[in-house]
Amino acid sequence: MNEFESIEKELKSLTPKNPSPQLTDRIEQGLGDAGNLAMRRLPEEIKSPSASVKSNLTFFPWLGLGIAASLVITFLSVYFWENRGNEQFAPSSVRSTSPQVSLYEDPESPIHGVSVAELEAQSGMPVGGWLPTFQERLLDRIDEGVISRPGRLPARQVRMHYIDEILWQHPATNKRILSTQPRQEIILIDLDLY
Amino acid sequence: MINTEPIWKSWFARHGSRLLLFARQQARNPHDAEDLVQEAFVRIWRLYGHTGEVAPGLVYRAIRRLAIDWARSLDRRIIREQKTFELTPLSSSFEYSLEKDEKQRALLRAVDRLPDEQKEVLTLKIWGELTFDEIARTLDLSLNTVASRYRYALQKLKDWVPEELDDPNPNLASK
Repeated sequence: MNEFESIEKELKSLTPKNPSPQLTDRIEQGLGDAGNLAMRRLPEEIKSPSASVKSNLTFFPWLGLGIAASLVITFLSVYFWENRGNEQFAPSSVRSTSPQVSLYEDPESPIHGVSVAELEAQSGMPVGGWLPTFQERLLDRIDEGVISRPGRLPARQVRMHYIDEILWQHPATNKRILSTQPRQEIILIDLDLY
Repeated sequence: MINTEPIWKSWFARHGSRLLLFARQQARNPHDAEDLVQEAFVRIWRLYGHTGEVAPGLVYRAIRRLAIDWARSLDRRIIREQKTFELTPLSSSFEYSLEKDEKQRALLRAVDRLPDEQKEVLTLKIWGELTFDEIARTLDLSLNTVASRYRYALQKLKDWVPEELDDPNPNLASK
């Protein structure tokens, strides 16, 4: 038996003071982008209902065609409605995510010359009234090692893989369409040599 | 929306108080100790944080090396730190509670009386939870030296705590 077991136990019962919140803030600022490279998902969010909706949707590959068509329809509908001077449509979120998209007639388009009413009839889906929700999902981060930069400090290059998701919801018909787009981002983190 | 949190936050919540305790011994000044922790942690996390886990020993070592660099570069700082150290003993770096019994207070007074080189080994072993091997690498000492200092420290505490309980204001110079 360790003769110092009792004193070790008493020492361990003493609790060092916690760092001040100011110190934590300073560290957060000091880390910058480097602080966000390794993230953990908060436990309560794992069972997020929106996540299950999305995972279910991704099991239906045939939705891809529908997504593309509905996006075209939605943008065209914005164009048509604006031309008619109708100020009631065009939700603010659409305007904010795609400001002043320049739309033009494309004779090559499969829906060229097709009216909105015909589109609705053919697709079986409403043209207006869709509300988009944007979400960015981090899929992977790859450490590509240290790179040298002439005349500057070396840096660690990290490639981030994201999926940008737009969930279009139509409250009136309770329809949902998920659009996904992959995106890459490269972050360079300055390395201090000491 | 999926909520996420940077891993460094939970890592720092777990190890931050221990790092600060060690830095207090290296800097001898509460403000410089915070600067040391910040600088050392940011440097190490920038190098290895992308993996999601960093061995605490790396940060302790960085604190130690930075403290030596800073002390060498600023002679005036040393004088100020030594003065501050007399005013801020290590025992002030622990959570204070009214319920803390007399024995714990006696233990803290005894810890304050330990020589610095034993105190830092004790800090890394008890609160830093490092192995003797990690402590030896952190302090650039041999394994035997680290183990001896730890044993001497515990022996002194074992002897001194009853003295502190009998006489809360002993003559420190005689110890």
